[in-house]
Amino acid sequence: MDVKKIKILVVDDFATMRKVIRNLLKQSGFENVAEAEDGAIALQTLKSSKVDFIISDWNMPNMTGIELLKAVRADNELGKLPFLMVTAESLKANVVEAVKAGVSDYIVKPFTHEVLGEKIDKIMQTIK
Amino acid sequence: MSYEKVLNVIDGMASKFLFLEGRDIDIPTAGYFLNQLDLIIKDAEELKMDPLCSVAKGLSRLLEKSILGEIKDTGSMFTTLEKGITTMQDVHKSFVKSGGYEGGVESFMGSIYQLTGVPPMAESTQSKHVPREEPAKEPHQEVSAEPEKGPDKGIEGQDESLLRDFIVEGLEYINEIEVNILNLEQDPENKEYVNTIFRPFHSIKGVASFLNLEKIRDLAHNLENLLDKVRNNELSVTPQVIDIILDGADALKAMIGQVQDRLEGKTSAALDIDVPALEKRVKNIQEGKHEQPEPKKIGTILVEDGLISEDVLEEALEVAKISNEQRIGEVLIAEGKVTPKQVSQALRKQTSQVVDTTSTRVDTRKLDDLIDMVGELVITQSMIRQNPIVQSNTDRKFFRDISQLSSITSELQRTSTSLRMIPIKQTFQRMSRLVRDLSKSAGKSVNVVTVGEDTEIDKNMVEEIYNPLVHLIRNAVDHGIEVAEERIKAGKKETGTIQLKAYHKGGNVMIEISDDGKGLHKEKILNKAIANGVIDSASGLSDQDIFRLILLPGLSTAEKVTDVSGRGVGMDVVKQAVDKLRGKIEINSHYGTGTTFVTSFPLTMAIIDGMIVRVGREKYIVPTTAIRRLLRPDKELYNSVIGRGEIINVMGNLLPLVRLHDLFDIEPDSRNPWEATVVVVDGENRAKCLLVDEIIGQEEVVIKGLSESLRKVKGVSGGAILGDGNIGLILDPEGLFELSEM
Repeated sequence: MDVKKIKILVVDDFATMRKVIRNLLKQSGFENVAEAEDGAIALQTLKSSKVDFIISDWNMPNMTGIELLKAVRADNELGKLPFLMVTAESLKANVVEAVKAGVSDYIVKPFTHEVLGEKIDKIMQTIK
Repeated sequence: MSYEKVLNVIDGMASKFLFLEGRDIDIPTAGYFLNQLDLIIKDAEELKMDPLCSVAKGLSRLLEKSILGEIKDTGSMFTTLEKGITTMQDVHKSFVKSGGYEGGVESFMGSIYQLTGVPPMAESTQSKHVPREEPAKEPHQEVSAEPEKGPDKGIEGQDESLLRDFIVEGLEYINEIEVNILNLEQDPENKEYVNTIFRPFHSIKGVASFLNLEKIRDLAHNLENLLDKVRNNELSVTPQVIDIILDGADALKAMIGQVQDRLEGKTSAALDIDVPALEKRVKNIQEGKHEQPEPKKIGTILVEDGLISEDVLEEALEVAKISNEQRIGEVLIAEGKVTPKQVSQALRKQTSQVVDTTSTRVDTRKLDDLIDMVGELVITQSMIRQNPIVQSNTDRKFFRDISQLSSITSELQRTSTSLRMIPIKQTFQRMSRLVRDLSKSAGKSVNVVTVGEDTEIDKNMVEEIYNPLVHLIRNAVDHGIEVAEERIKAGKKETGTIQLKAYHKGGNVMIEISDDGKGLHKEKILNKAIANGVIDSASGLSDQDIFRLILLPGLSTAEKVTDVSGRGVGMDVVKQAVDKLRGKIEINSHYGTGTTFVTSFPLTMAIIDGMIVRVGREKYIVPTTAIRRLLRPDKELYNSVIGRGEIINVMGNLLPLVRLHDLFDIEPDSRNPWEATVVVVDGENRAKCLLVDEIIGQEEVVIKGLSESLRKVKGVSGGAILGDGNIGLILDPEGLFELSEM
């Protein structure tokens, strides 16, 4: 499978942030991007369509990133889906919780498209 | 719990470790190890295997640090992990054999300490906080590897649309913050509200950092940290916290505005918000340095009490500064400006500001319920007293007990109403701030003096009276106080003064707003009023009446009145708002020396003074403040005009007649106005005549809201239990007018 063709779901409540990430992904060659504005909506999207990779913010209304992660990991079908958590510098201490919950990796805001691309490539390699 | 189970976990870790591909622990593996270590720690604690426990905790710490990218020497990290797992196996083996471990784990713990920089003793708490205080280097390097883009440069190219989105969304988010912060203020314990405020700051920060808007990012970051502390219960929601969040939101809004200006190629106005000072305040609050507990200075208290003037205070302060030994109070006493007693009183006042811990927070809803129930109790109690059986009873003891009961209930009512009363201080402080802001932007120098800050007012009233009062203050600053040159020319002090004064009078709270500005010009108001056809002539009008003209809609459009009287931007709006609260407004003014607006509001919105009217067998309550006149018209004054309906001539005014019995479908005693009673009531900007059978009397009633499904019913604003135990509906004049026009 061509890594650049994978479908990435970007989950963030801030529309501008989704656009920022979408732009960065585009710069790294990932064009197949879907968006969701919180964990609950993301979960619906995941159930109704095929997604290969999740990039999610931590802090969102309705269902937070960590809740989404736990829900994904608890799901039989979605269980192994690569999950990249976006976090802020100030909230890095939370990362440990996400790691224990089975996150694939995390990335600290702000990041460049190079870092983002690397992280995605690295995660995709390990699951192959 | 058994040794065996622990061994399984440790062995599981060992085999996972063996099959690792490189010498690199990736995130999912670290997660797996951490979860296993948690299991081991839990079991080891229960089995009292202390050495095992410390090793496992040490490894957890090591892995956490490694996840956060804070361990540079990944090679020795890897070997330490390996050593840790084998040590755990050894410790376990030894425990199974002899119930203890002789080898000692100190040297191993030492190597962990070296790698993590966290001493073994300071375990769980440290590992959570340290990362925040010393941010990891790695992500920063990543950022700096990217060519530095100035904020101006970031506006070019594809980022422009992002910036536009950010501006729109950012401003939306700030609105959200403003709405939710008010909820939080009312319910400070509700973590959900904290979250709804935290999130927008967080999001703004995130995007701002991508767009290289550093100032916005830093401020949002600081505020976010503050809120994070609130979320983690490290900080409680005090008014200071609320204030600073609001100030922060204001600042962010202004900064986003600047970005917008720049984007549109406009030169943005300089920010008049001191962001570094704001950030410092945020930090101070976070560190638990409260802003407020800096009590008022003794000198300030003395000035406020009117015992000394500011000039005297300044002089005395100079003296105190030079002499170094003497305190301000001593200097003032020595100078004979104040008596020792006055100083000691001021000192007492000062301490009472600081020590005010004798209060408890109670949910307002509970309070409202309580007050409501007490209201019911009072009415029930009076119903019992008026019951014929009770009245005819001649037992003296019973009579005494009944009057005892009624005095207790009325005391209870008084106390419970006072529960909801809060000092007007906060409102005044907000207003003082407003005056400062307004005067600065108007380029005037204005001083605010407040009197009677401790006057209490119903909590529910506070928000309601704020808007009309703000309007009055705005007018006082904009149009009342003159600019400095004009003031000097008129022989006044350069700095204008606005006085806010509150006191109780009767069942009302009075709030006066006075300025020492140019005052109202009677003739000009009169001329304009006559020109606009508001009045016919000035005859019979008192000064008061003339000033009140500015409250009329015809006279209060900005451009007409600003040059006439220097007043009146939307004064009719103020009047309406005050009316709605069943308040009154009076104006006193002397041309050249200033204007005073005296507003009076009922102490509480829970009680209304009403006129009880009867239509057929039904009783209704008409708010007394809405009633203009009661009359029984002569037959000649009644007319039915085709196309305009029924009309009654009231003192030369033709007012439409509204038949209550038609609206509510009741059989009245009489259908002819000249045989019934007509109540002339005011709606919004108009008056009509209500036709009722009889006026029963005047009564103060406790207002009961209507249930959700009835709230939309027009013409009725609420209900109340009357003194005789019957229920009466409270009429809403404007609603009735609308009903009658349908």
